[in-house]
Amino acid sequence: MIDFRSKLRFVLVILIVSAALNGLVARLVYLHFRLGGGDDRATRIVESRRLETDLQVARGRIMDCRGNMMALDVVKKEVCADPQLVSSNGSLAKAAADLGRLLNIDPAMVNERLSQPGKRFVYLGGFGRPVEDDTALRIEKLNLPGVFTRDVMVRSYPRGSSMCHVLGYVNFDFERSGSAGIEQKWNKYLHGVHGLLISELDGRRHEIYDRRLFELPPRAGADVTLTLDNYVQYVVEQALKNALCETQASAIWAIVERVKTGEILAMASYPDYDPNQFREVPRESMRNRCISVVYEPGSTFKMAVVAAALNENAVHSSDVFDCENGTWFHNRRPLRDFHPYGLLSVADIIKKSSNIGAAKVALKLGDRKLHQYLQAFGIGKPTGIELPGEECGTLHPLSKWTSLSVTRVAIGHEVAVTALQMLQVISAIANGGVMMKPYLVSRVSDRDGKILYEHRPGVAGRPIRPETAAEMRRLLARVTEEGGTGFKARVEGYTVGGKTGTAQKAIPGGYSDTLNMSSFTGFIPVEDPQLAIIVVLDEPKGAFRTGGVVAGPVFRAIAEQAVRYLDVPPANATAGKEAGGSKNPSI
Amino acid sequence: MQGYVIPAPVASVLVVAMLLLLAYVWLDIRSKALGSRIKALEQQQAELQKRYDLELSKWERLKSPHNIERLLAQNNSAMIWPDEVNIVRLSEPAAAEIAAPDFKSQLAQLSPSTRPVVHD
Repeated sequence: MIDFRSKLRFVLVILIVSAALNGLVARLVYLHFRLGGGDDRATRIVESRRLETDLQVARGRIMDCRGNMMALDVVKKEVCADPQLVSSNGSLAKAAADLGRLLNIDPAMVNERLSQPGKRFVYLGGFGRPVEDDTALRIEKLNLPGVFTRDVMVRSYPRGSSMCHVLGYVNFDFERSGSAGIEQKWNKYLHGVHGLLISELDGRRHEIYDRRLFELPPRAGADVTLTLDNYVQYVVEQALKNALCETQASAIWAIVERVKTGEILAMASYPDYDPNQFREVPRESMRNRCISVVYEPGSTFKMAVVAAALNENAVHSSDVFDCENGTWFHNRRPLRDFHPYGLLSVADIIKKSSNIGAAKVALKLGDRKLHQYLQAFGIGKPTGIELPGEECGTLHPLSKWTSLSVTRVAIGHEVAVTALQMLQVISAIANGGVMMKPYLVSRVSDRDGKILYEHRPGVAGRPIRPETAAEMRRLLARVTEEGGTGFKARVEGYTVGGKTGTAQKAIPGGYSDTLNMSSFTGFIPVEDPQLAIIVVLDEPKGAFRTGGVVAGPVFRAIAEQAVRYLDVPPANATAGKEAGGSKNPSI
Repeated sequence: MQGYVIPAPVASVLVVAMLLLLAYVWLDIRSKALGSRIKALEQQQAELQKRYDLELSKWERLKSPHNIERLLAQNNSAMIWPDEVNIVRLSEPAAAEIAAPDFKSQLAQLSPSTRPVVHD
């Protein structure tokens, strides 16, 4: 009996196990040979196991001339959710409250985003708004069903607003293309190439390494090295910030350039913005005024006019002109000086910034020659600096000049320039008549250090002879001497050459009596010029708002630190070196 | 002798097949292990790169002149440039100064004897 029952049990077990195994085999055959559901089912199975993903790539980094990182990619977390899953778990209210608190946004807004059961994916912080690591960690610890974080690559500008107008910013689209400044202009080097991975997933949705079908590794973007110097830029930005507070100007901008090479060491503009939060700033703050704002330069333009006249031997620096005691009628239109002067030499016309004197010098040169020289100085055409949005300024064709034009252009009206163009004029004078091409990018190299692009200094033109340039340097040095309009631009221990400018702002129907553009353009040291600097203030307020009063001190604040930092020796140290010894500098 | 004796060639084939099978299984396991290790290392590298970039970003922020000035101000300190009078500038002497007569006179002081030196 027992024997029969045990045999029966054995047979039953065998039958059950066989049935199970047969079922399993049948199912495997069914799946393997794609029976029953046609190709659809098999395709769905294959597709569900297939992994095809773009491999994110880091954009190239942007560095200053000393290797300090100004822009780089970092991986952060963004908070996302599956509204369907959140709703089905009944945790909507809790999730909205917790996430609202942690993300510092209105819980009602989170609730609204999560109340879309038809959707399987929403951004909670907002598209392209990653959260800090600790916030992401706290959200992950909540273990909210349907809420998750994922890695996203974002552009980081560790120094905030420093160099913002030069660097630009990167958009949040898939390609992450640069949308301003160097990021835009050098995008083709910076953006890199996405990789591609095609592989298979296991049951836990993990990639099966040995089923990798195709792998195209990403190629990181190339690094761009700028000519800008982080510290000189800081000095300029601080000086501009202080000046903006003191003068209540609506905007202020400045550039520092090495005259012998054309390297731009600093380029700053206020108001500025933080490129890390570029979506929250007004468009007006994003303008790089150094290259995109054109203005009538006023008296700073006199140096170009006098340089042209000296170069043509139309005048000599000792020639004397009658400055008509402050008011002169030319073609029945008055021209006035800020202070009345009688007889002034050409040297004093520059030093005292006489409008009447400069107009008479220009008349002596003639409008055709003047126009030619202004073109040679690069007025009316872009400098070609490697930034988007450079304005070319305005220099009307000679055919459009009236009989008054030559006297008005001579004092910096009827023409419009960018600060960079004006800086080019003084750089040419400081560099012995040779105008160098200004540039911002010194090198582009890939991650292996291979150099893809390297800039060599180039000559943009030779508007004046070296002797004329030397004479102009002597005349411009007098501007910062006692009695000159640029006295406040003096730097202790150094000789400074430069020119002040105060131009009434053009408004519809004429010129404003209250609003003006004040500027100072200079170089240092006069004996062996190394740096050229321009400072421009738009609508400074206060009783005294001439270029010498408001822009001169900003020039000094920048120059006195820049020469120390860049180890530019003062004039007497250079003289001592030339004589073969070192002497104490006289202050 | 009872039962069936497997012929030697068949047994050899079976043994070889078994060995090949075992080798295949071993290689498969090994390649899977290597694949897992490569994947783990890839993830580790990505994680390290991510951390490195974040730290680099933080470090750049820390060493910015603006931050240094702010920290100095917090500690009531300030960095100033030395006065020009306090700077000692050393320049390389001109080539003419390293002239032969001076050099020879120094040699003369060091070795007053004009006799040829004999090395032994």
